[in-house]
Amino acid sequence: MKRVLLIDDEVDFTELAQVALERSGEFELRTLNDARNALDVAREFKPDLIVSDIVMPNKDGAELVRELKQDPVLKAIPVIVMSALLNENAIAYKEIGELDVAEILEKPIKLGQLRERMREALG
Amino acid sequence: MDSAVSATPPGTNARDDLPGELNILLIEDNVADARLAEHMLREEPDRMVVNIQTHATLSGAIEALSAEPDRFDVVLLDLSLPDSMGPETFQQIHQTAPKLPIIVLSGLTDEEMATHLVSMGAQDYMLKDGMEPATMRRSIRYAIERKASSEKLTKLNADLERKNEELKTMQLQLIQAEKMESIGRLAAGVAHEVKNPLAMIQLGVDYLMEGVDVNDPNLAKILGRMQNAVVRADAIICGLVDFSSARQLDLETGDINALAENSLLLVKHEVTKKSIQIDSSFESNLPLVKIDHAKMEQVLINLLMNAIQAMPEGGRLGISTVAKTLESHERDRGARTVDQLRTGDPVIVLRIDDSGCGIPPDKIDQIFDPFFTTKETGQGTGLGLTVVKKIIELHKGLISLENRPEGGCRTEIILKAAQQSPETEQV
Repeated sequence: MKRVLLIDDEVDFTELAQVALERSGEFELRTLNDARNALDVAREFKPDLIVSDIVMPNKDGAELVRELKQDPVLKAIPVIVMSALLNENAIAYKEIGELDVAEILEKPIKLGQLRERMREALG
Repeated sequence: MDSAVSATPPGTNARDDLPGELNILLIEDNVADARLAEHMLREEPDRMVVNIQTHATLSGAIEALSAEPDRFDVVLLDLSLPDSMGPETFQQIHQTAPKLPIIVLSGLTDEEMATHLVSMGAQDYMLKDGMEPATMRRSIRYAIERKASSEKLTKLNADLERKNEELKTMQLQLIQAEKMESIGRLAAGVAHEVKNPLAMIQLGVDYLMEGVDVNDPNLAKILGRMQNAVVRADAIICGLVDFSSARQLDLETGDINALAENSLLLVKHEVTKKSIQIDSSFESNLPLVKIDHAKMEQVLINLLMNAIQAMPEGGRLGISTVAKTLESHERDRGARTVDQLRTGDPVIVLRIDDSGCGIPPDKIDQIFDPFFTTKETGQGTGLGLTVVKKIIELHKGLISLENRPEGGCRTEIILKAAQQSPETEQV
Protein backbone atom coordinates (compact mmCIF):
# COMPACT_ATOMS: atom_id res chain seq x y z
CA MET A 1 0.00 0.00 0.00
CA LYS A 2 1.40 3.39 -1.06
CA ARG A 3 1.58 6.13 1.51
CA VAL A 4 0.19 9.47 0.37
CA LEU A 5 0.40 12.80 2.18
CA LEU A 6 -2.52 15.04 1.11
CA ILE A 7 -2.37 18.75 1.95
CA ASP A 8 -5.39 21.01 1.37
CA ASP A 9 -6.77 23.82 3.52
CA GLU A 10 -10.34 22.54 3.01
CA VAL A 11 -11.14 20.01 5.74
CA ASP A 12 -14.16 18.66 3.85
CA PHE A 13 -12.01 18.00 0.81
CA THR A 14 -9.27 16.12 2.65
CA GLU A 15 -11.84 14.00 4.53
CA LEU A 16 -13.73 13.17 1.36
CA ALA A 17 -10.60 12.46 -0.67
CA GLN A 18 -9.21 10.23 2.07
CA VAL A 19 -12.32 8.06 2.15
CA ALA A 20 -12.58 7.97 -1.65
CA LEU A 21 -8.92 7.18 -2.28
CA GLU A 22 -8.48 4.63 0.52
CA ARG A 23 -11.42 2.41 -0.46
CA SER A 24 -9.54 0.51 -3.15
CA GLY A 25 -6.89 -0.47 -0.63
CA GLU A 26 -4.24 0.91 -2.94
CA PHE A 27 -3.36 4.02 -0.90
CA GLU A 28 -2.95 4.93 2.71
CA LEU A 29 -3.55 8.65 3.30
CA ARG A 30 -2.38 11.13 5.86
CA THR A 31 -4.12 14.51 5.53
CA LEU A 32 -3.06 18.01 6.56
CA ASN A 33 -5.00 21.27 6.40
CA ASP A 34 -2.04 23.58 6.89
CA ALA A 35 1.18 23.31 4.90
CA ARG A 36 3.31 24.86 7.65
CA ASN A 37 4.04 21.56 9.39
CA ALA A 38 4.03 19.52 6.19
CA LEU A 39 7.79 18.95 6.21
CA ASP A 40 7.79 17.60 9.74
CA VAL A 41 4.84 15.34 9.00
CA ALA A 42 6.54 14.16 5.80
CA ARG A 43 9.74 13.27 7.67
CA GLU A 44 7.75 11.27 10.17
CA PHE A 45 5.16 9.70 7.81
CA LYS A 46 7.65 9.00 4.97
CA PRO A 47 5.09 9.20 2.15
CA ASP A 48 5.64 7.68 -1.31
CA LEU A 49 3.73 10.61 -2.83
CA ILE A 50 2.73 14.10 -1.76
CA VAL A 51 -0.46 15.68 -3.16
CA SER A 52 -0.86 19.36 -2.34
CA ASP A 53 -3.25 22.20 -3.02
CA ILE A 54 -1.63 25.39 -4.37
CA VAL A 55 -3.66 28.28 -2.94
CA MET A 56 -3.58 27.99 0.85
CA PRO A 57 -3.68 30.75 3.49
CA ASN A 58 -0.60 30.19 5.64
CA LYS A 59 1.84 28.66 3.25
CA ASP A 60 1.11 28.04 -0.43
CA GLY A 61 1.87 25.01 -2.53
CA ALA A 62 4.72 26.68 -4.42
CA GLU A 63 6.58 27.50 -1.24
CA LEU A 64 6.01 24.00 0.06
CA VAL A 65 7.34 22.38 -3.11
CA ARG A 66 10.42 24.62 -3.06
CA GLU A 67 11.20 23.58 0.50
CA LEU A 68 10.57 19.93 -0.23
CA LYS A 69 12.91 20.04 -3.21
CA GLN A 70 15.66 21.63 -1.11
CA ASP A 71 15.48 18.91 1.50
CA PRO A 72 18.09 16.17 0.83
CA VAL A 73 15.74 13.37 1.86
CA LEU A 74 12.28 14.68 0.94
CA LYS A 75 13.28 15.90 -2.53
CA ALA A 76 13.03 12.34 -3.84
CA ILE A 77 9.30 12.15 -3.10
CA PRO A 78 7.16 12.85 -6.20
CA VAL A 79 4.73 15.75 -5.78
CA ILE A 80 1.38 16.41 -7.44
CA VAL A 81 -0.05 19.91 -7.07
CA MET A 82 -3.62 20.92 -7.75
CA SER A 83 -5.69 24.07 -7.69
CA ALA A 84 -9.20 25.24 -8.33
CA LEU A 85 -7.77 28.22 -10.14
CA LEU A 86 -4.72 27.77 -12.30
CA ASN A 87 -5.59 30.59 -14.64
CA GLU A 88 -5.71 33.52 -12.24
CA ASN A 89 -2.79 32.30 -10.18
CA ALA A 90 -0.56 32.44 -13.19
CA ILE A 91 2.40 33.50 -11.05
CA ALA A 92 2.06 30.59 -8.64
CA TYR A 93 1.35 28.39 -11.63
CA LYS A 94 4.50 29.50 -13.46
CA GLU A 95 6.51 29.17 -10.31
CA ILE A 96 5.21 25.67 -9.81
CA GLY A 97 5.94 24.87 -13.45
CA GLU A 98 9.57 25.74 -12.93
CA LEU A 99 9.77 23.45 -9.95
CA ASP A 100 10.10 19.74 -10.22
CA VAL A 101 6.54 18.49 -9.83
CA ALA A 102 5.17 15.27 -11.28
CA GLU A 103 1.80 16.72 -12.22
CA ILE A 104 -0.30 19.89 -12.07
CA LEU A 105 -4.01 19.19 -11.80
CA GLU A 106 -7.04 21.44 -11.96
CA LYS A 107 -9.98 21.00 -9.60
CA PRO A 108 -12.58 19.65 -9.95
CA ILE A 109 -10.99 16.38 -10.98
CA LYS A 110 -12.62 13.00 -11.46
CA LEU A 111 -11.75 10.38 -8.87
CA GLY A 112 -10.61 7.94 -11.54
CA GLN A 113 -8.33 10.52 -13.14
CA LEU A 114 -6.84 11.56 -9.82
CA ARG A 115 -6.11 7.93 -8.99
CA GLU A 116 -4.56 7.40 -12.43
CA ARG A 117 -2.28 10.47 -12.09
CA MET A 118 -1.24 9.31 -8.63
CA ARG A 119 -0.32 5.86 -9.97
CA GLU A 120 1.70 7.47 -12.77
CA ALA A 121 3.54 9.73 -10.34
CA LEU A 122 4.36 6.75 -8.18
CA GLY A 123 5.84 5.11 -11.27
CA MET B 1 -20.73 99.45 -62.86
CA ASP B 2 -18.07 97.04 -61.64
CA SER B 3 -14.73 98.68 -61.10
CA ALA B 4 -11.58 98.10 -59.13
CA VAL B 5 -10.04 101.19 -57.65
CA SER B 6 -6.66 101.30 -56.07
CA ALA B 7 -6.15 104.35 -53.89
CA THR B 8 -3.34 105.89 -51.92
CA PRO B 9 0.31 105.19 -52.62
CA PRO B 10 1.70 101.90 -51.39
CA GLY B 11 2.60 101.99 -47.74
CA THR B 12 3.99 99.71 -45.13
CA ASN B 13 1.60 100.56 -42.36
CA ALA B 14 0.20 97.61 -40.51
CA ARG B 15 -1.26 99.47 -37.55
CA ASP B 16 -3.84 97.90 -35.25
CA ASP B 17 -3.24 94.41 -36.59
CA LEU B 18 -4.92 95.30 -39.84
CA PRO B 19 -3.54 93.85 -43.03
CA GLY B 20 -1.01 96.15 -44.70
CA GLU B 21 -3.27 96.18 -47.71
CA LEU B 22 -7.00 96.45 -47.27
CA ASN B 23 -9.22 94.72 -49.83
CA ILE B 24 -12.78 95.91 -49.70
CA LEU B 25 -15.75 94.51 -51.53
CA LEU B 26 -18.29 97.30 -51.91
CA ILE B 27 -21.75 96.13 -52.92
CA GLU B 28 -23.80 99.18 -53.81
CA ASP B 29 -26.04 99.84 -56.81
CA ASN B 30 -26.41 103.58 -56.29
CA VAL B 31 -23.60 105.20 -58.29
CA ALA B 32 -23.47 108.33 -56.16
CA ASP B 33 -23.41 106.37 -52.88
CA ALA B 34 -20.71 104.13 -54.23
CA ARG B 35 -18.55 107.03 -55.30
CA LEU B 36 -19.01 108.68 -51.94
CA ALA B 37 -17.98 105.56 -50.11
CA GLU B 38 -14.98 105.03 -52.36
CA HIS B 39 -13.97 108.61 -51.86
CA MET B 40 -14.13 108.32 -48.10
CA LEU B 41 -12.20 105.09 -48.10
CA ARG B 42 -9.47 106.64 -50.21
CA GLU B 43 -9.08 109.32 -47.59
CA GLU B 44 -7.32 106.76 -45.47
CA PRO B 45 -4.64 108.90 -43.81
CA ASP B 46 -2.54 105.96 -42.71
CA ARG B 47 -0.94 105.54 -46.14
CA MET B 48 -2.46 102.09 -46.32
CA VAL B 49 -3.13 100.53 -49.71
CA VAL B 50 -6.87 100.28 -50.10
CA ASN B 51 -8.24 98.18 -52.95
CA ILE B 52 -11.92 98.54 -53.57
CA GLN B 53 -13.92 96.29 -55.85
CA THR B 54 -17.43 97.52 -56.41
CA HIS B 55 -20.41 95.45 -57.54
CA ALA B 56 -23.90 96.77 -58.22
CA THR B 57 -25.72 93.43 -58.08
CA LEU B 58 -25.94 90.57 -55.61
CA SER B 59 -25.19 88.03 -58.32
CA GLY B 60 -22.09 89.94 -59.43
CA ALA B 61 -20.87 90.15 -55.82
CA ILE B 62 -21.52 86.47 -55.17
CA GLU B 63 -19.66 85.57 -58.33
CA ALA B 64 -16.66 87.64 -57.24
CA LEU B 65 -16.74 86.13 -53.74
CA SER B 66 -17.02 82.60 -55.04
CA ALA B 67 -14.20 83.10 -57.51
CA GLU B 68 -11.77 84.43 -54.89
CA PRO B 69 -13.09 83.57 -51.43
CA ASP B 70 -9.90 84.73 -49.67
CA ARG B 71 -9.36 87.94 -51.56
CA PHE B 72 -11.39 90.37 -49.45
CA ASP B 73 -10.91 91.61 -45.92
CA VAL B 74 -14.34 93.18 -45.48
CA VAL B 75 -17.67 93.65 -47.25
CA LEU B 76 -19.59 96.91 -47.29
CA LEU B 77 -23.13 95.99 -48.22
CA ASP B 78 -26.18 97.95 -49.31
CA LEU B 79 -29.22 95.73 -48.70
CA SER B 80 -31.35 97.15 -51.53
CA LEU B 81 -29.98 95.85 -54.80
CA PRO B 82 -31.69 95.34 -58.16
CA ASP B 83 -31.71 91.56 -57.68
CA SER B 84 -32.22 91.33 -53.89
CA MET B 85 -33.82 93.26 -51.04
CA GLY B 86 -33.54 93.46 -47.26
CA PRO B 87 -32.06 90.86 -44.89
CA GLU B 88 -32.16 88.29 -47.68
CA THR B 89 -29.30 90.20 -49.37
CA PHE B 90 -27.22 89.94 -46.22
CA GLN B 91 -28.10 86.28 -45.83
CA GLN B 92 -26.91 85.47 -49.34
CA ILE B 93 -23.55 87.21 -48.93
CA HIS B 94 -23.04 85.78 -45.46
CA GLN B 95 -23.71 82.26 -46.74
CA THR B 96 -21.31 82.69 -49.63
CA ALA B 97 -18.48 83.98 -47.41
CA PRO B 98 -19.29 83.06 -43.80
CA LYS B 99 -15.85 84.07 -42.57
CA LEU B 100 -15.89 87.56 -44.06
CA PRO B 101 -16.90 90.53 -41.86
CA ILE B 102 -19.88 92.40 -43.32
CA ILE B 103 -20.82 96.02 -42.60
CA VAL B 104 -24.34 96.89 -43.72
CA LEU B 105 -24.85 100.33 -45.27
CA SER B 106 -28.36 101.73 -45.11
CA GLY B 107 -30.19 104.86 -46.11
CA LEU B 108 -32.68 104.43 -43.27
CA THR B 109 -32.46 104.49 -39.49
CA ASP B 110 -34.04 101.19 -38.56
CA GLU B 111 -32.98 100.05 -35.09
CA GLU B 112 -34.96 96.84 -35.35
CA MET B 113 -33.40 95.92 -38.67
CA ALA B 114 -29.94 96.81 -37.36
CA THR B 115 -30.35 94.57 -34.31
CA HIS B 116 -31.75 91.80 -36.47
CA LEU B 117 -28.82 91.93 -38.87
CA VAL B 118 -26.24 91.98 -36.12
CA SER B 119 -27.94 88.92 -34.58
CA MET B 120 -27.63 87.25 -37.98
CA GLY B 121 -23.89 87.91 -38.00
CA ALA B 122 -23.40 91.41 -39.41
CA GLN B 123 -20.53 93.29 -37.80
CA ASP B 124 -22.01 96.77 -38.06
CA TYR B 125 -24.93 98.78 -39.42
CA MET B 126 -24.00 102.20 -40.80
CA LEU B 127 -26.18 105.03 -41.99
CA LYS B 128 -25.07 106.38 -45.36
CA ASP B 129 -26.08 109.89 -44.32
CA GLY B 130 -23.91 109.96 -41.23
CA MET B 131 -20.85 108.43 -42.89
CA GLU B 132 -17.54 110.18 -42.52
CA PRO B 133 -14.04 108.82 -43.19
CA ALA B 134 -13.00 108.42 -39.54
CA THR B 135 -16.18 106.55 -38.52
CA MET B 136 -15.96 104.37 -41.56
CA ARG B 137 -12.33 103.45 -40.98
CA ARG B 138 -13.04 102.70 -37.35
CA SER B 139 -16.03 100.59 -38.25
CA ILE B 140 -14.00 98.62 -40.79
CA ARG B 141 -11.16 98.07 -38.35
CA TYR B 142 -13.48 96.90 -35.60
CA ALA B 143 -15.42 94.71 -37.99
CA ILE B 144 -12.28 92.91 -39.11
CA GLU B 145 -10.97 92.51 -35.58
CA ARG B 146 -14.28 91.34 -34.19
CA LYS B 147 -14.75 88.87 -36.99
CA ALA B 148 -11.21 87.56 -36.56
CA SER B 149 -11.75 87.14 -32.80
CA SER B 150 -15.04 85.42 -33.35
CA GLU B 151 -13.47 83.10 -35.94
CA LYS B 152 -10.70 82.33 -33.50
CA LEU B 153 -13.25 81.64 -30.79
CA THR B 154 -15.25 79.39 -33.07
CA LYS B 155 -12.12 77.46 -33.92
CA LEU B 156 -11.05 77.22 -30.28
CA ASN B 157 -14.54 76.12 -29.38
CA ALA B 158 -14.48 73.42 -32.04
CA ASP B 159 -11.09 72.27 -30.72
CA LEU B 160 -12.48 72.19 -27.21
CA GLU B 161 -15.50 70.19 -28.30
CA ARG B 162 -13.30 67.73 -30.15
CA LYS B 163 -11.00 67.36 -27.16
CA ASN B 164 -14.01 66.95 -24.92
CA GLU B 165 -15.30 64.17 -27.18
CA GLU B 166 -11.88 62.50 -27.09
CA LEU B 167 -11.86 62.75 -23.32
CA LYS B 168 -15.33 61.25 -23.13
CA THR B 169 -14.28 58.35 -25.38
CA MET B 170 -11.16 57.76 -23.31
CA GLN B 171 -13.18 57.90 -20.13
CA LEU B 172 -15.59 55.31 -21.54
CA GLN B 173 -12.67 53.10 -22.51
CA LEU B 174 -11.22 53.49 -19.03
CA ILE B 175 -14.53 52.64 -17.41
CA GLN B 176 -14.83 49.63 -19.72
CA ALA B 177 -11.30 48.50 -18.86
CA GLU B 178 -11.98 48.98 -15.18
CA LYS B 179 -15.23 47.06 -15.51
CA MET B 180 -13.39 44.19 -17.18
CA GLU B 181 -10.79 44.34 -14.45
CA SER B 182 -13.43 44.02 -11.72
CA ILE B 183 -15.30 41.33 -13.63
CA GLY B 184 -11.97 39.53 -13.92
CA ARG B 185 -11.32 39.76 -10.20
CA LEU B 186 -14.88 38.77 -9.42
CA ALA B 187 -14.78 35.84 -11.83
CA ALA B 188 -11.50 34.63 -10.37
CA GLY B 189 -12.85 34.87 -6.84
CA VAL B 190 -16.10 33.16 -7.76
CA ALA B 191 -14.22 30.50 -9.69
CA HIS B 192 -12.00 29.62 -6.75
CA GLU B 193 -14.92 29.54 -4.33
CA VAL B 194 -17.16 27.52 -6.65
CA LYS B 195 -14.61 25.11 -8.08
CA ASN B 196 -13.49 23.91 -4.66
CA PRO B 197 -16.97 22.77 -3.62
CA LEU B 198 -17.39 21.34 -7.15
CA ALA B 199 -14.22 19.33 -6.56
CA MET B 200 -15.80 17.82 -3.47
CA ILE B 201 -19.09 17.03 -5.19
CA GLN B 202 -17.10 15.49 -8.03
CA LEU B 203 -15.09 13.19 -5.78
CA GLY B 204 -18.21 12.35 -3.74
CA VAL B 205 -20.29 11.48 -6.79
CA ASP B 206 -17.43 9.42 -8.22
CA TYR B 207 -17.05 7.58 -4.93
CA LEU B 208 -20.77 6.78 -4.84
CA MET B 209 -20.79 5.71 -8.50
CA GLU B 210 -18.01 3.24 -7.94
CA GLY B 211 -19.95 1.53 -5.17
CA VAL B 212 -23.39 1.88 -6.67
CA ASP B 213 -25.98 -0.85 -6.09
CA VAL B 214 -26.41 -2.51 -9.48
CA ASN B 215 -29.98 -3.49 -8.57
CA ASP B 216 -31.05 0.13 -8.42
CA PRO B 217 -30.77 1.58 -11.94
CA ASN B 218 -32.10 4.94 -10.73
CA LEU B 219 -29.11 5.43 -8.49
CA ALA B 220 -26.63 5.22 -11.37
CA LYS B 221 -28.86 7.47 -13.45
CA ILE B 222 -29.11 10.14 -10.75
CA LEU B 223 -25.40 10.05 -10.06
CA GLY B 224 -24.74 10.33 -13.80
CA ARG B 225 -26.89 13.46 -13.97
CA MET B 226 -25.09 14.93 -10.98
CA GLN B 227 -21.81 14.16 -12.67
CA ASN B 228 -22.91 16.08 -15.78
CA ALA B 229 -24.08 18.98 -13.64
CA VAL B 230 -20.61 19.30 -12.12
CA VAL B 231 -18.98 19.27 -15.56
CA ARG B 232 -21.42 21.90 -16.79
CA ALA B 233 -20.98 24.23 -13.84
CA ASP B 234 -17.22 23.90 -14.15
CA ALA B 235 -17.34 24.73 -17.88
CA ILE B 236 -19.30 27.93 -17.20
CA ILE B 237 -16.88 29.02 -14.51
CA CYS B 238 -13.88 28.27 -16.73
CA GLY B 239 -15.48 30.19 -19.60
CA LEU B 240 -16.04 33.22 -17.37
CA VAL B 241 -12.48 33.17 -16.12
CA ASP B 242 -11.22 32.74 -19.68
CA PHE B 243 -13.31 35.62 -20.92
CA SER B 244 -12.35 38.00 -18.17
CA SER B 245 -8.69 37.06 -18.05
CA ALA B 246 -8.16 37.30 -21.80
CA ARG B 247 -6.64 40.75 -21.50
CA GLN B 248 -3.06 40.31 -22.53
CA LEU B 249 -1.33 38.33 -25.20
CA ASP B 250 2.00 36.61 -25.20
CA LEU B 251 2.84 37.41 -28.82
CA GLU B 252 5.33 35.47 -30.88
CA THR B 253 5.84 35.15 -34.59
CA GLY B 254 4.14 31.96 -35.65
CA ASP B 255 2.87 29.86 -38.52
CA ILE B 256 -0.90 29.55 -38.71
CA ASN B 257 -0.63 26.46 -40.92
CA ALA B 258 1.33 24.58 -38.28
CA LEU B 259 -1.07 25.72 -35.61
CA ALA B 260 -4.08 24.66 -37.69
CA GLU B 261 -2.61 21.23 -38.40
CA ASN B 262 -1.81 20.75 -34.75
CA SER B 263 -5.33 21.80 -33.73
CA LEU B 264 -6.76 19.30 -36.22
CA LEU B 265 -4.74 16.56 -34.55
CA LEU B 266 -6.19 17.52 -31.18
CA VAL B 267 -9.78 17.10 -32.39
CA LYS B 268 -9.01 14.01 -34.50
CA HIS B 269 -10.78 11.73 -32.06
CA GLU B 270 -14.06 13.65 -32.39
CA VAL B 271 -13.69 13.82 -36.17
CA THR B 272 -13.27 10.06 -36.44
CA LYS B 273 -16.08 9.35 -34.00
CA LYS B 274 -18.61 11.39 -36.03
CA SER B 275 -17.25 10.13 -39.40
CA ILE B 276 -16.48 13.61 -40.62
CA GLN B 277 -14.39 14.13 -43.72
CA ILE B 278 -11.69 16.79 -43.55
CA ASP B 279 -10.91 18.94 -46.59
CA SER B 280 -7.82 20.92 -45.79
CA SER B 281 -6.00 23.32 -48.04
CA PHE B 282 -3.09 25.19 -46.52
CA GLU B 283 -1.30 27.72 -48.68
CA SER B 284 2.40 26.99 -48.76
CA ASN B 285 4.78 29.82 -47.86
CA LEU B 286 2.05 31.51 -45.88
CA PRO B 287 3.37 34.72 -44.27
CA LEU B 288 3.97 34.44 -40.55
CA VAL B 289 1.74 36.22 -38.05
CA LYS B 290 2.17 37.60 -34.56
CA ILE B 291 0.10 35.35 -32.33
CA ASP B 292 -0.32 34.08 -28.82
CA HIS B 293 0.05 30.37 -29.53
CA ALA B 294 -1.93 29.04 -26.59
CA LYS B 295 -4.82 31.47 -27.08
CA MET B 296 -4.93 31.02 -30.85
CA GLU B 297 -4.95 27.25 -30.40
CA GLN B 298 -7.87 27.71 -28.02
CA VAL B 299 -9.63 29.69 -30.77
CA LEU B 300 -9.02 27.02 -33.42
CA ILE B 301 -10.07 24.13 -31.21
CA ASN B 302 -13.20 25.99 -30.18
CA LEU B 303 -14.13 26.70 -33.82
CA LEU B 304 -13.31 23.14 -34.94
CA MET B 305 -15.37 21.67 -32.09
CA ASN B 306 -18.28 23.97 -33.01
CA ALA B 307 -18.06 22.76 -36.60
CA ILE B 308 -17.90 19.13 -35.49
CA GLN B 309 -20.83 19.53 -33.10
CA ALA B 310 -22.85 21.11 -35.93
CA MET B 311 -22.56 17.80 -37.84
CA PRO B 312 -23.66 15.03 -35.45
CA GLU B 313 -24.49 12.78 -38.38
CA GLY B 314 -21.20 13.43 -40.11
CA GLY B 315 -20.32 15.76 -42.95
CA ARG B 316 -17.46 17.73 -44.39
CA LEU B 317 -15.21 20.01 -42.43
CA GLY B 318 -13.20 22.41 -44.56
CA ILE B 319 -10.19 24.22 -43.24
CA SER B 320 -8.05 26.48 -45.40
CA THR B 321 -5.51 29.26 -45.22
CA VAL B 322 -4.66 31.83 -47.84
CA ALA B 323 -2.53 34.98 -48.02
CA LYS B 324 -3.99 38.10 -49.60
CA THR B 325 -4.42 41.85 -49.48
CA LEU B 326 -7.40 43.03 -47.49
CA GLU B 327 -10.17 44.45 -49.65
CA SER B 328 -12.55 47.03 -48.31
CA HIS B 329 -15.76 45.07 -48.84
CA GLU B 330 -14.43 42.25 -46.70
CA ARG B 331 -14.43 44.44 -43.64
CA ASP B 332 -18.18 44.66 -43.27
CA ARG B 333 -19.46 41.29 -44.35
CA GLY B 334 -21.35 38.98 -42.03
CA ALA B 335 -21.25 39.32 -38.26
CA ARG B 336 -18.07 41.38 -38.14
CA THR B 337 -16.34 42.41 -35.00
CA VAL B 338 -14.51 45.67 -34.36
CA ASP B 339 -12.66 46.91 -37.40
CA GLN B 340 -8.97 46.71 -36.63
CA LEU B 341 -7.43 46.31 -40.07
CA ARG B 342 -7.02 48.67 -42.99
CA THR B 343 -7.78 48.11 -46.64
CA GLY B 344 -4.58 47.12 -48.42
CA ASP B 345 -3.04 45.39 -45.39
CA PRO B 346 -1.29 42.10 -46.20
CA VAL B 347 -3.31 39.50 -44.34
CA ILE B 348 -3.74 35.79 -43.92
CA VAL B 349 -7.23 34.35 -44.00
CA LEU B 350 -8.19 31.19 -42.17
CA ARG B 351 -11.52 29.60 -43.01
CA ILE B 352 -13.37 26.84 -41.26
CA ASP B 353 -16.45 25.50 -43.08
CA ASP B 354 -18.94 22.91 -41.92
CA SER B 355 -21.81 21.23 -43.72
CA GLY B 356 -24.14 21.37 -40.71
CA CYS B 357 -27.47 23.09 -40.26
CA GLY B 358 -26.13 26.67 -40.13
CA ILE B 359 -27.25 29.44 -37.78
CA PRO B 360 -30.85 30.70 -37.93
CA PRO B 361 -30.59 34.05 -39.78
CA ASP B 362 -32.38 35.94 -36.98
CA LYS B 363 -29.84 34.64 -34.48
CA ILE B 364 -26.63 35.29 -36.38
CA ASP B 365 -26.16 38.81 -34.99
CA GLN B 366 -26.13 37.46 -31.45
CA ILE B 367 -23.67 34.69 -32.11
CA PHE B 368 -20.75 36.38 -30.32
CA ASP B 369 -22.86 37.61 -27.35
CA PRO B 370 -22.03 36.21 -23.91
CA PHE B 371 -24.28 33.33 -22.83
CA PHE B 372 -25.92 33.14 -26.25
CA THR B 373 -25.97 29.61 -27.60
CA THR B 374 -27.77 27.74 -30.34
CA LYS B 375 -26.88 24.45 -28.74
CA GLU B 376 -29.37 22.58 -26.58
CA THR B 377 -29.65 23.63 -22.95
CA GLY B 378 -26.73 22.21 -21.06
CA GLN B 379 -24.68 21.56 -24.19
CA GLY B 380 -22.96 24.90 -24.53
CA THR B 381 -21.88 27.59 -22.10
CA GLY B 382 -22.54 30.44 -24.53
CA LEU B 383 -19.06 31.73 -23.82
CA GLY B 384 -17.02 29.88 -26.43
CA LEU B 385 -17.41 32.31 -29.32
CA THR B 386 -17.39 35.28 -26.95
CA VAL B 387 -13.93 34.29 -25.81
CA VAL B 388 -12.88 33.51 -29.41
CA LYS B 389 -13.94 36.98 -30.53
CA LYS B 390 -12.17 38.59 -27.61
CA ILE B 391 -8.94 36.76 -28.43
CA ILE B 392 -9.12 37.70 -32.12
CA GLU B 393 -9.78 41.32 -31.17
CA LEU B 394 -6.77 41.27 -28.89
CA HIS B 395 -4.79 40.13 -31.95
CA LYS B 396 -6.25 43.12 -33.84
CA GLY B 397 -7.77 40.71 -36.29
CA LEU B 398 -11.24 40.19 -37.74
CA ILE B 399 -13.61 37.32 -37.25
CA SER B 400 -16.84 36.72 -39.08
CA LEU B 401 -19.35 33.96 -39.06
CA GLU B 402 -21.87 33.46 -41.83
CA ASN B 403 -24.14 30.86 -43.32
CA ARG B 404 -22.86 29.38 -46.55
CA PRO B 405 -25.23 29.40 -49.52
CA GLU B 406 -24.65 25.64 -49.92
CA GLY B 407 -25.55 25.10 -46.24
CA GLY B 408 -23.58 25.07 -43.04
CA CYS B 409 -21.42 27.76 -41.54
CA ARG B 410 -18.24 29.53 -42.53
CA THR B 411 -16.04 31.12 -39.92
CA GLU B 412 -13.34 33.36 -41.23
CA ILE B 413 -10.45 34.82 -39.30
CA ILE B 414 -8.29 37.53 -40.81
CA LEU B 415 -4.96 38.35 -39.20
CA LYS B 416 -2.42 40.87 -40.31
CA ALA B 417 0.70 39.29 -41.76
CA ALA B 418 3.86 40.00 -39.77
CA GLN B 419 5.76 42.71 -41.59
CA GLN B 420 9.14 41.10 -41.68
CA SER B 421 10.31 37.58 -42.27
CA PRO B 422 11.88 35.97 -39.19
CA GLU B 423 15.36 36.18 -40.73
CA THR B 424 15.31 39.96 -41.11
CA GLU B 425 13.41 40.63 -37.92
CA GLN B 426 16.42 40.43 -35.64
CA VAL B 427 18.20 43.24 -37.49
